[in-house]
Amino acid sequence: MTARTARLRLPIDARFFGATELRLPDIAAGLLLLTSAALWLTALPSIDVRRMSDLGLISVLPPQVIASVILLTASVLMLLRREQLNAPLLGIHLVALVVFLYAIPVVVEEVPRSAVAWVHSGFVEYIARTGQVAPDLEARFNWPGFFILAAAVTQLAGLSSAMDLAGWAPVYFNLLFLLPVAQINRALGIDSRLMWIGLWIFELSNWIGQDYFSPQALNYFLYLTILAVVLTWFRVGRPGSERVAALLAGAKRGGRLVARLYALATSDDPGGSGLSRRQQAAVIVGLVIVFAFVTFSHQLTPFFTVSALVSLVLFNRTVLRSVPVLFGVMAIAWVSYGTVPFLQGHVVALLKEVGQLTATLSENVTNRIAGSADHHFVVSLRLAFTLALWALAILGAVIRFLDGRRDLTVLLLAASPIPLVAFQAYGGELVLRLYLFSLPFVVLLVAGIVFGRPTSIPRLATSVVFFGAISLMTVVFFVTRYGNERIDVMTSAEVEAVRTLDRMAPPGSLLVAASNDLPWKFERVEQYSYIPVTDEVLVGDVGAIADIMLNPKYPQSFLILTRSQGAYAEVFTGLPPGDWDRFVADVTSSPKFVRVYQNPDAEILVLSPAARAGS
Amino acid sequence: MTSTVTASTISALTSNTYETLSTTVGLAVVIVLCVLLLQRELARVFGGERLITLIRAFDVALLPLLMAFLVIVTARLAELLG
Repeated sequence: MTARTARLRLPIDARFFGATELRLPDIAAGLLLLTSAALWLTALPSIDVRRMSDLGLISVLPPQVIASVILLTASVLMLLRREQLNAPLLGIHLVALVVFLYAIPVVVEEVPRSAVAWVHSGFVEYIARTGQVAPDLEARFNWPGFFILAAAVTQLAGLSSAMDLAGWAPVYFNLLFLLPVAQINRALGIDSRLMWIGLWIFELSNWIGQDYFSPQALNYFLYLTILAVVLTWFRVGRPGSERVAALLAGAKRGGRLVARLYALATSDDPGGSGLSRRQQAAVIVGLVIVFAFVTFSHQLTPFFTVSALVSLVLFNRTVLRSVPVLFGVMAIAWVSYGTVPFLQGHVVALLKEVGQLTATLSENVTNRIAGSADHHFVVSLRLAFTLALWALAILGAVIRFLDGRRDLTVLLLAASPIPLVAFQAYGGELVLRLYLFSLPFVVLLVAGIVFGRPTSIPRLATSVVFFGAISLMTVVFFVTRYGNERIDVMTSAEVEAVRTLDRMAPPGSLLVAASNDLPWKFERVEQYSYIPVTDEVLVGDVGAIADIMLNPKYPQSFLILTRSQGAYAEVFTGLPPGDWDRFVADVTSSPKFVRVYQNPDAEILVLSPAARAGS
Repeated sequence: MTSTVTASTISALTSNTYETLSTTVGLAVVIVLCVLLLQRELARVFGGERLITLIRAFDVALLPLLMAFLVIVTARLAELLG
């Protein structure tokens, strides 16, 4: 009795699993799923984030967590070897994978992670409280769409703070991403097995971390959705012209080569579903509305979207020829008219970056290899993994080409983010965003090395090797994804210290910290001025910090030092272990400062009367 | 002869601030451009000879409007740089 034909009658309704009866592989997969869930759940209580090294979460991660993901992968690969796929069961596995990968911090950390998420929460709080945006206060308010939407959701849901939404953001955003990516795959007629394994690799490759409570996460979902809609309903099935092909073939010099290249560039896309004219018109208007929201809620996503659509139009892959121009006009118009406060302070710097490819790559790649030795390793592993993934994608494209598959649309969309590197460094993050926006298409090509070949089910030996590769990818994921976790984790004591600071500091005060890596700015962000004094901390210049705080412009000044800032100093700036504690001791023992609050993870200091008198 | 131009229009047209002109004229160009591009796409959807003629008419207006848009954006950037 083989796995394909073994059947078992059970007193449960197998129709829930999309099958008329349960088969042995389904039951085995279900048991593996339950076992992996049990392993994962029982491993979590032993994670102590306070013992993390500069390698991040992997330094305290029990092996059972990695084993749980590997077991889940084995279960999925077993299900994918069946002749008839069980889509609901595969879907449950995918949801479990997202939870296993992205829910760990939510469960084991005291408060939502990431200092930037707390800042975004502060923007939402400001809008909810005042009903206005403040583009002069902070650059991100020039693209306020996400924050306005979050304020509305927070108020409608009766939540006390947007941080109630932030904790689970990576989980729900990664689940959301799967929907348009799956639809893109279906629209392109991608083999089902290839689609499922592509989604699996997508989640294991998403180490970028732009799925936290942020405009980028929501707008990435909208970018994928726009592409899914365009590819589902507005695709050109036969992009090539037979007349042109015949004309090229008949050309005297090099005609056959040009004709072959033309055939490649206009290879057919399979399938396509129709809409009535009214439905098409409604969908187009809907796309414009969605893109309008994207335009006024994120700086980069509009341009990645336009680039993707332009590439589809240039190769006659979509009938929407005016839409990329329309979207380009909307994006540029918003920047020109809606972000004037931002442009006034940044236009020179922005224009200087145009065409500076070497500088952009340097800022995005080589400059990131800094900090402690462990952090060097994490960054280097990220770079190596990224390059390996792209190399495997090229290999997958070649293999599929030799198999007779023409994935031009996939290749176009994978490559469409690349031109933007020539325009902006985006604070050293553009290459990361390039990776993110090309990821759904890159992983499809990677998975195509094994799946979606002429025989849909790969040989057992190939599957075993592939399983080994995915298992290795799992380990790499936890290093690349959570390599900064020592910096990103926030504690309830730190949050309490910031709340105390907000109660102490009168409006107009200056709040000084060693870096921006603490959970501040989440309440009444407009009432204070904030200065990180990273350079002064690095050289231990206590006097310089006191001088900054003596500025008569501010009625009062406060210095807040937290555990997370110490972690930042050691991980990112390479401050030797012990130097942070010495710096804090120097500050607290200095006659220039008086400590006014302390808890296990934070201290708040003000200038001493002597220091103020000496000014 | 009675003028048909209202006081507010005169005021808008004779406003001598660059910011006002750049904003009002520029936004008008943007809005007209967006509407024409959207209408062009919708005309393609509904098809028909009359709509194809309409599309060709849109194309005549689109290129100058696009150029005007680019000039306006460049001028705004230049003003910010200055």
